[in-house]
Amino acid sequence: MKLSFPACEAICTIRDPHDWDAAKNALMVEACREMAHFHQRKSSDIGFLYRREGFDPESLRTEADLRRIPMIGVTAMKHHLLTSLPHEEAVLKLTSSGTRGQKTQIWFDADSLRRVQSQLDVQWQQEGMVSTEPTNYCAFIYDPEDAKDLGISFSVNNEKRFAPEKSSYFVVRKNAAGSWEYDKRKAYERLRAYEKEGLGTRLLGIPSFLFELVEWMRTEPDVRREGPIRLPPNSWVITGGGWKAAEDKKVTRDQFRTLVTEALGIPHQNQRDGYGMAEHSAPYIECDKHRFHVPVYNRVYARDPVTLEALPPGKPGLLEFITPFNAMMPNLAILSTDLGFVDPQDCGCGRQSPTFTLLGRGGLVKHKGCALTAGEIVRRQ
Amino acid sequence: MRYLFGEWVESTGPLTAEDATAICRRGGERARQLAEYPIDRVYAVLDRLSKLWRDPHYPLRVELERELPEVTGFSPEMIALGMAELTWTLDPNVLRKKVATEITEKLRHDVGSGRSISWQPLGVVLHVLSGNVFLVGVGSLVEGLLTGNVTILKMASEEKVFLPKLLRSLEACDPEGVVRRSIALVDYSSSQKDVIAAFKNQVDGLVVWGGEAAVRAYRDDLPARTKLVVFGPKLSLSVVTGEGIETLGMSHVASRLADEISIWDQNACTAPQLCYVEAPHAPAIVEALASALARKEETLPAGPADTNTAVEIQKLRGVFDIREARGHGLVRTSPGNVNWTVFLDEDPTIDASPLHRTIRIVPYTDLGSVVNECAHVRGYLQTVGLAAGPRERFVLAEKMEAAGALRVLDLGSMSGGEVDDPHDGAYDLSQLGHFVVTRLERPNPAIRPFERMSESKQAALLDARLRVLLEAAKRAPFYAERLAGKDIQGVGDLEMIPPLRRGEMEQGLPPAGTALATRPFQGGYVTRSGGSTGTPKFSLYDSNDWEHLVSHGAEVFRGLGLTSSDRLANCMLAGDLYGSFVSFDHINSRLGLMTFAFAGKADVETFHHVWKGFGINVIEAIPATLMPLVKKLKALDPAFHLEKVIYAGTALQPSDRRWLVENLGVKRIASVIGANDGGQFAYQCESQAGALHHVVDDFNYVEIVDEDGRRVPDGTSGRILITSLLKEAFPLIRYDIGDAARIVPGDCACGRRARVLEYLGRSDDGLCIGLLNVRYRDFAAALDGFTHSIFQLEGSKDEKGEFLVARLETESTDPALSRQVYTALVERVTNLEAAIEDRTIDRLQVEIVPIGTLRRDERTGKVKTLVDSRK
Repeated sequence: MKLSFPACEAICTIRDPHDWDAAKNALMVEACREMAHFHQRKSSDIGFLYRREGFDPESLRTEADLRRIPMIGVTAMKHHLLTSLPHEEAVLKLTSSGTRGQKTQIWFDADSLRRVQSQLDVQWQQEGMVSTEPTNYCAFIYDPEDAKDLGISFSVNNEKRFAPEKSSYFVVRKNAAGSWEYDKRKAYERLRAYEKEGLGTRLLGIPSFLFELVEWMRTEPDVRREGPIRLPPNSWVITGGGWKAAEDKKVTRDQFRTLVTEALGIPHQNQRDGYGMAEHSAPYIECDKHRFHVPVYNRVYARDPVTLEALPPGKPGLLEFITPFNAMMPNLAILSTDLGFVDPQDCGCGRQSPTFTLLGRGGLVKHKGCALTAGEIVRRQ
Repeated sequence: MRYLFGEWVESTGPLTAEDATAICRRGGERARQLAEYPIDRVYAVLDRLSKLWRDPHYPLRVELERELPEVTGFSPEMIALGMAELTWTLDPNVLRKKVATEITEKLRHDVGSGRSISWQPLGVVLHVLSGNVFLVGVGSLVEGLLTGNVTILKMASEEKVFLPKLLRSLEACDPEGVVRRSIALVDYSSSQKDVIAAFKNQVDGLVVWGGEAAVRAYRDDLPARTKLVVFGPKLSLSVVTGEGIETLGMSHVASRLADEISIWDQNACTAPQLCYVEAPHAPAIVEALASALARKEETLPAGPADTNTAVEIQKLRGVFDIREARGHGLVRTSPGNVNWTVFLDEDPTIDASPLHRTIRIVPYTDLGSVVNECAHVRGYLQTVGLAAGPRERFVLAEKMEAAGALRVLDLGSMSGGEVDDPHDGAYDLSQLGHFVVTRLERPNPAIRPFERMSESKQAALLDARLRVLLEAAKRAPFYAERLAGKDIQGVGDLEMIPPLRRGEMEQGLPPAGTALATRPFQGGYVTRSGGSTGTPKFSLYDSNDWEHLVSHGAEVFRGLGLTSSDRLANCMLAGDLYGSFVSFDHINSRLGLMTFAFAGKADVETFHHVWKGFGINVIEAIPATLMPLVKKLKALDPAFHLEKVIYAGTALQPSDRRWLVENLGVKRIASVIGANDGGQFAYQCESQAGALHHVVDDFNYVEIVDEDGRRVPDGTSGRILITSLLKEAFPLIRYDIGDAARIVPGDCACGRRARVLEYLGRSDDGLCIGLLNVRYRDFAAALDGFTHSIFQLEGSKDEKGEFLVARLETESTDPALSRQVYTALVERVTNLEAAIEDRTIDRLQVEIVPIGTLRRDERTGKVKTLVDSRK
C-alpha cells in the first residue's frame, strides 16, 4: 500500500520556505500531526514515549503545540536504530561519524528522500547556488570511493547535482600504505590548475580541512612566492561539519572567510556554511549574511539543558529540531547536543524566516576533579 | 592577586615562567625554617583557624557561604556541610592521629641496632588543585604544612574564592608568621606550558589533583629527582546483594545509596557512579532509589547543574528512553530538572557517570562477572560500597580487594573514612617527605634518643611537648582556670603555674571529680594511689597515656641495662589495683625479653626451680621483698647467682648492694624511680649508684623547688615537681610528688645528656618529737656502713614521754650491734645527743630484728620507714 502524507508532501515541497505565513504554519502543524500519528502507530519506541508523556498527536493544533512533541535524544539514535517502516523500504542508508565508535544510522525511504531532496533543491535555488555551467570541484572530505557510507560523502556528492561536474578532487585519500593522508600541496596544485582553467570552482566539505590548507598556503615559502590563487567569480565555498581546528586557534568564522578570500579570491557572499545534522537530515544553508534560516517545514527551538523548557530568542540552550519529512525514521522532533539560540533580531538579508546561531557542541564535561568523568577511561587494548 | 609567602601581591598580568622560578626559589629559602618549626605550633595555627571557621557568624565564613553556591554549583545546604568538614580538616586532634599513623609511627630509634629513622620534608611542593570539591585545597595545604613543606597552591580554574579567604583568615592565626611565610597561592592556565615547565624544573615535589590530561601535563618531562604524587581520576561503585537487601531492607539500602550520590552531588571520587544489584532486585532498587533521591532533595538539594553536565545527563536519558521503550531498561528522573537520574542498565560495562546524582543500576546474576568488570578499570577503581548479608560480606570484600578496589566500605560509609586511612592506596603524608635512615655505631646502645640530642633540640622538644600538653590541659576545667591568661611557651615559663598539690589532684580525678579530665577517657589503667588506709585514691591513665608510659618506659628500661635476651623475674607487687607489676610487665614485654611473673609472691623453692630451669638472670623487685628472697635462695643453693637487679620503691642499702655483688655476682644494680601518679621520672645508668639518677625530662619534666614552688639553684635540695609531658587525659603539671631531691651539676661519665638527680626520699620524712625536728634521711645517713636491709624510725610515746625507736632489719646477730648503732646515731645526727641529754626526747631506743620480720604493707610490700605511733 502506498503511504500518503499529503500535508507533509505539501509543506516539504513548498517553493518559498523562507516566507512564513499563517497558512504555511498551519500546514506545518498538520504535517507534524500527520507524521506523529504515523510514528506513534508504527514505532513502538515512539508509541511508548508518547504514552509515557501523555502526548496525543491529535492534540497538535497550533504552532505552540509543536513544542510539546516528545523529543528523541540524538544520542539515542547513535545507540539504537529507530525505524517506522519495514526495513526493506529503505532506499538509502547513511551513517554519521560518531565519536567513540557510536554511529547513527540514517535511513530513508524513497518518498522521504524525495521530500528532503526537494528541500535542498529549493534552498539552493533560492540562494542562487544552482548553475548549468561545467564546474570543477575540490572536496575537503574523505574520498568517497573509500568512505562510501559516511553522511558527509553523500552530502558532498549530492551537492554536485547543483552544477555539472567537470572534474573532482578529494583532499583526503588513502595512500599506498592504505592510511588516510591529506596532502595539502596536491590540493593546492589542483586549485592552482582550476584557477588557470578559469571555470567556476566549488569547494565543498569540512571547513577544518579548508582552514588547514589556507593556513598552509600562508606559511609555505614557495606558495607565498607564487602569490594567492584567484578562482573565477562564479566560484563557491560551501562547507558543512567540523570546525574545531580553526576554533582551537581562536579564528572566528568571519576571519576564516577573510583568509579564504585572501588565499583563493572567493568573496564572503560566495562562502556559505551548511548545517545538516545527520539525525535531523533537513538542510540549512547560510544566507549571504551568513545566518542559518529556518525553512517553514522545520522548527528550531533552544531548550534549557536542565529543564528542557523552550527558551525565548537570544537565550542559549540545547537545540531541538523538528521536521516532518521522514516516514522511515521517527526523527520528527529530536533533541541535539548542539548549543545555540534562536536569533532575537531579524536577518538583514530580506528573508523573514527566523534564524539561529550555533554555539558548539554541549556536553563532555571538562574534568573537574578526582572523580572520573565521562570519556576519561583509557581502556586497556 | 597572588599570595606569596605572607604577602598579597597585586599581579600585573598572568604568571610568567620567570615568576614561577622566582617563587620556587623564594620558597626554597623558607624551607628550612618551616622544617624546623615545631609541629605543635603548626597545629596551634590550624587550631585557631579551625575555631574561627567553626563559628557560623565568622564574617569570612558568612561571605563564603553566600558566594560558594554560585561559584561551585553546590546548594547552600551542601556548602554548609562542607564548612563543617572544613573545621574537621583543620582540627589538630584529628590531624595528630594522621601524623601519628603516617609518619610518627614509622620513625624508629632502634637502640639495639643503632638505627634511627627520621623524617625530612621534600622541600618546596606545588599542589595543583582540582575544582570538584573546594575542600581539596585545604586538605592539600594542611598536608603540606604538617609534613614541613613549603606549599605552593595552584588554584583550580573553576573556583578561586575559597583559598584566598582561607589564607586571609590564616594570617590572623599565625602570630609568629612562620606558617604563612611558607605558603604561596598562584593562578595560571593549564595552557601556560612554560609556567608548568618552570615549576617542574624547580620544585621538590608535585601533588596533582585532576584528570588524565592534568596528570600528563605534570608527569611528562618531570626531572627524576622530583617526587610526583598523583590524585588522578578515580571511580567508585556499589554492590548490592539480595542478602544485603534482605538484611538491611530495600528502603534502607536505597536511602544509603541516595546519601552516597547526593553528597557533593557525586563529585567526590568516593561517590558511586554505578551500582551492581543482584538481578531480581534491580528494578525495585531503581524505584526505591528514585523515591529516596526525591526525598533527599528536601534535606540536601542538588545544586544547579552546569550546561555540559545537563547535556550529558539529557543524552543518557534519551538513550534510556528508548531502552525502556524496548523493555531493556528503566529511567527515573527528577521532574523538570536534572537533579537526579536513575537508570536500569543491562550493560555491565563500568563507565563514568555524568555525575550530578546520576547513577546506573546494573543487574548481575554472577558476582564473578562484576569482579571481571572491575578488573577492566583497575587503576581507576577506588571505593566499593557493599550492601551484603552477614554471611557473604567478608568474602565479597576479599573479592573486591583482589579486583583492584582501594577502599571497601559499607554502603553508606563510602564518603566517610578515618583521617589516617590510606588515600588512593597510599598514605598522603608519607609521600611528602623522606624517611631518612641513620645507622651509626655507638659505644653505648642504651642511651635514649633524647639523651643523644643536642641541647637546643632537647629544649625545643621539651618546649613543644609542654605546649601541646597545655593546650590539652586547657580543656580540663581545673586547668582552664589555672592556665587562663598565662602565655607559657616552654618549660622556662613553668614557674607561672602554681604547683599541683596532692589534694587538688585527688579531687580532680574520678571518682571524686572530673576537674582534671581533658577528654572522655577509655582504655588504659586505673591504679591505686597513696596510702593503704582511708578512702582509696586512684591514678588514671587512658589508653594513649598508658601507651606513652609503656613506650617511654621501654627506653628507660634499656637504660637500666635490660635487653631482649634477658630472662627476668618480675617480683614487683600486683593486685589490689597496685600498678607496679602491671606497668613493669608491659614495659618488659615491649622490650621483648622473657618474663617470669612472680609478682611478689615468690615461693623460694619454685623460684629456684625456675631459675635453674630457665636461667633467670634478672630480678625486678623492691628492696623490702628482694633481699629476703635472694638471701633465702642463696641459703637454699649456694650456686644461686644473678646478673642484674632492678629495684624501685625505696633505697637499697649500701650493705645490701655489696651483698648482692659479693654473694650473687650481680654485675648491674640499677634503680628506677617513678611517681605512682606520673610514672617514671629518674633511673640509674651504669655509672650511677646510691641516690644518683638521671632525670627523664622528656617524659616527666622535673623541677626542684622550695616550699613556695620557686625553683632552687642546681645543687640545692628541694621538693620534686613533675610535669608529665605525655599524659594528656588527666594532666599533671608541676605536681608535687612529695619527695625531695637536688640536681647535681655536671656531666655523668656515661655520656648521657640528661640531668643528674640525687634522690633524697620523702620530703615529708620529718617528725617533731618533743621539740626535736627529726629527719629520717639524717638518721639513715648516719647508719652508712652498717649491714642492714631496712631501717625504720618510729616516734612513740609512753608515760615517760616521747621517744624514738631506731629499728634495723638485718641478718647480723652480733650482740654489740645495738650499741654500735646507738653510738653512731647520737654521734652523727645533729642535735640528737643534746636532745636526749636535756630530755627534749625521753630516749633513743635501738631494736635489731631478723630479715623479713618488720611489718610489710600488704599492697605495696613496703616497710614504712618513718612511723609516728604517738597518736
